[in-house]
Amino acid sequence: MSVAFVPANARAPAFGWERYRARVTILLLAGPLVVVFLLFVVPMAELVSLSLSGDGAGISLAAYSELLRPVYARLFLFTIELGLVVTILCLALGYPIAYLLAHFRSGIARWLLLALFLALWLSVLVRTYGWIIILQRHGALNTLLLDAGLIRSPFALVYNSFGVYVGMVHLLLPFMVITLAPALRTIDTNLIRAALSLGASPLTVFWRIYFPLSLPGAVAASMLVFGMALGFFITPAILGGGNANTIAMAIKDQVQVLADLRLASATSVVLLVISLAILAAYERTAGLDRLFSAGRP
Amino acid sequence: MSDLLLGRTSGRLLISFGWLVLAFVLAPVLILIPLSFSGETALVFPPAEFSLRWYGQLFSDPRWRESALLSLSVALAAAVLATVIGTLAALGINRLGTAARRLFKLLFLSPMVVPLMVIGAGFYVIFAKVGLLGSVASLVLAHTTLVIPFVILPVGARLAALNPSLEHAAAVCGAGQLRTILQIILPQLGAASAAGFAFAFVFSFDEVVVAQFLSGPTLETLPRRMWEGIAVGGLDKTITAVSSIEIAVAIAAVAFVEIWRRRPERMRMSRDTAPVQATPRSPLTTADTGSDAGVPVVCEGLTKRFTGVAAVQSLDLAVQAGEFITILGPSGSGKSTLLMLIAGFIPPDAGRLIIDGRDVSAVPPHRRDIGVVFQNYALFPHLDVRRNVAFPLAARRIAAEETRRRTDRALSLVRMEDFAARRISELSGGQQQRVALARAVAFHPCALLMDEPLSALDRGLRLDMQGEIRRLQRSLGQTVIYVTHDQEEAINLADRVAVMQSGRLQQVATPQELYLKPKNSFVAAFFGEANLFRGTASGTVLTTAGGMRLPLPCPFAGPATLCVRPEIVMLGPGAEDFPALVGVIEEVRFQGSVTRIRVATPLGPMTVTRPATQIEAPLALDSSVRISWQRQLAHVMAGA
Repeated sequence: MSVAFVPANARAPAFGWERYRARVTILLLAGPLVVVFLLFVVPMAELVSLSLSGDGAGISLAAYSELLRPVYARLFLFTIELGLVVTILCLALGYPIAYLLAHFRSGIARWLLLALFLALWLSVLVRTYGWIIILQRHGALNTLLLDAGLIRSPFALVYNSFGVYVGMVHLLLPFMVITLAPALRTIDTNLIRAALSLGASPLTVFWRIYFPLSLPGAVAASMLVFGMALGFFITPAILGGGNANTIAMAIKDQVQVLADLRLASATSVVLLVISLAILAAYERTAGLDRLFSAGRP
Repeated sequence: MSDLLLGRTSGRLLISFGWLVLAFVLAPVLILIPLSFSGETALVFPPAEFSLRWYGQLFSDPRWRESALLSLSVALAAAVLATVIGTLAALGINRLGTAARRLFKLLFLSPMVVPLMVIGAGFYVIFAKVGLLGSVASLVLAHTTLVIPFVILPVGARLAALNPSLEHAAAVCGAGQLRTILQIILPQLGAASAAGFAFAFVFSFDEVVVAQFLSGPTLETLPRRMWEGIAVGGLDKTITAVSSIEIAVAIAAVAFVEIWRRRPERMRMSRDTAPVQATPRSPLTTADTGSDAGVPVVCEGLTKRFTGVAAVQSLDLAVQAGEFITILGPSGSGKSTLLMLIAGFIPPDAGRLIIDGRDVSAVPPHRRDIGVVFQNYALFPHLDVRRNVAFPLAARRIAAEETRRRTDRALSLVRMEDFAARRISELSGGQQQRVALARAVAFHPCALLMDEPLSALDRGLRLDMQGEIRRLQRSLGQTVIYVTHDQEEAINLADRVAVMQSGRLQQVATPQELYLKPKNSFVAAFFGEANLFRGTASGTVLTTAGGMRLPLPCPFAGPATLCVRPEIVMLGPGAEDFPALVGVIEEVRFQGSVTRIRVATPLGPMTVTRPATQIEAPLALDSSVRISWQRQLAHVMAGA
């Protein structure tokens, strides 16, 4: 067989598919990168540099040492406690609901899914406002309990940390469920059948097989919820009534009341570092791909 | 529904718990609606009298209207910007390698996890510097940044779920990157982009924390006005009216999405109930045959390493024009890598690829004019059959009339002309296979590559399609390179079979030659069944490690392997001048046309087959039997 070998066209550059594709990828990413750099990286970097600025030239840690004062330490501690309690409550309420959504097709599962999505689509302000109406001194819940003769005088259900817990669980429960349910759905039901066929009781199967398999999903969802809880502002500000102050509220005061931008920057940087650490940990344990699919309506 | 772990009682308990949580989720939302219709000023429940007072107040107050308009325009602008930027970002991220993809995802998604208060403070500092504080633009820019992740998430999920072969399929059809993105990828992102847009819009519309930082007293967005009302004790009941309207809109949106997702099947099918277009059938022998014929494809020392390991190792292969060659090998042998090298999706580390006498090593896949049939077909799901087949012609800017003629011809070649208006999802596996074939030949390619195209079909259909593919290849005179791991398929289809293992071609020969004269023990064992005896040859005798002296078909010297096919072995008194070899029958299995017998011999276990009709002696298990074969029918190969 004879083949006339023609040398590669000298004018055409070596044009591998991958290089060609990579160029287009760079073109696609260029615009978004500029936007994210200018509107996210630069402001965050500015906060860092502002928090480290001294009165004169050079770097100063004065703002950070101020954060060690008891008033701020207490705020940080309360914020973390709030986040932990809310996360645990969301997990306790959300796990059975996620199980229901993952494995049942009955009416309740469908209604729950719709309700959770409705809640996700609704303004935080509207939902918080609804809780005021239910929980306040002459609100729906107290009225109901008084009329039923169960209590003599109305409970203080809002403008304290109880109200904040209720409101935040309500806001974050949908996130817990829609991240956890897909994780539960991926558990291979054949494993459950196998365990049952091997003679394990349903309870044993749940604790020894199902629960351990669901743990990565539960941890990932909890991390997401905890991270979001740390930065919450609206709900603690409204439902706490000044009795449940978080670190996010302190930043607002530092900017708008104290006009101390350096201190506000330092506080922000601490929160920024914590939330980025949680994001990185989430990526490490669950992978952001899971978040990608959870974002699907 | 039945559940594996929950009994009746606990199942009911769980469902009751579900209703409780449903009430918990909905209560604070739904309670606002009746309250907004009560005339009283106090926020008491249950409402006493019906009144539209708060709605009247809401609509008569121009400040509420201004706030609503401001919020709507900011949210619209931010959502549009974020949809464009987020879709671009998701497209780009999806094309990156694993490590870079991870990094960019972290970067683009972080605005979603950083507390709003922190981002607000950052924007406050930056916008104060550039003098944008208090402007609508600052709010739009800030909100765009915040909501980009809401677009990247659904669009990224959709992209990740797309068949990765679609991009390759578009490229071999001749489409460049821009055409692929615009015509193949983007049309599949509609619903995901819409979801991202909706999330972005809602988030921006409701955002109050960052807005408080950025907009001065003049720019009161709707949530800011509501916030002020609520923060001072919720005394302004107009807020219940605003909230109720928002709730109504949200319920309508959720209901719309739900109904749209469950729209009845007949609506989705409506496009296809249209009468099938009667296309004039063009007979096979149209004028433009000649151009269908294939050209020679030559690989010269092709090498491809992945992280140091050679997937294809200095491979030489000359496929003649119009030849049907199958690449046969176990999984991991590098046969798919070879196909991707020929198609041009991966660059070789060394060697050249010559198509029709021209070195195409540096030509990108969409200019190689090679038709590829992918393992999972990679048909474009958003295009109907006709548009799928016409796609490579459109990519080559061929005139409409000519496109129609060639599409009709390609469809008639695979007998799919009556299905031209169908959607891909309405075709069976075999029909999809035919459309994929039609698409691959529609543009008169130089050669056809097929990557295990029949592996998803059941056996009967597979045999039918083998016949079709062979018929098509003969009638077009195409050069076909066909990858498979199934030796039966390789024999049925090929003029020549190239057996591949560990990135190297072991032997390229006709099926007959491969069976009768395998080059080495791998080929002998992989292609058909073989009893292999290793030893040292001298003259016409092979001495095994156990000292047994076996006759060779021809004189040979040095380490050698003797290949004895199961059907030439004789049981009982057989060939003369054969060493005494006695075995014990271990197993006899009836397998339809043949009976397979396993015999334990001093040389190790041997397999013997007999036509089912020709069992000479009764074959009792555990009985001893003399074994022999005619020495000329065995085959000796170098290497032990």
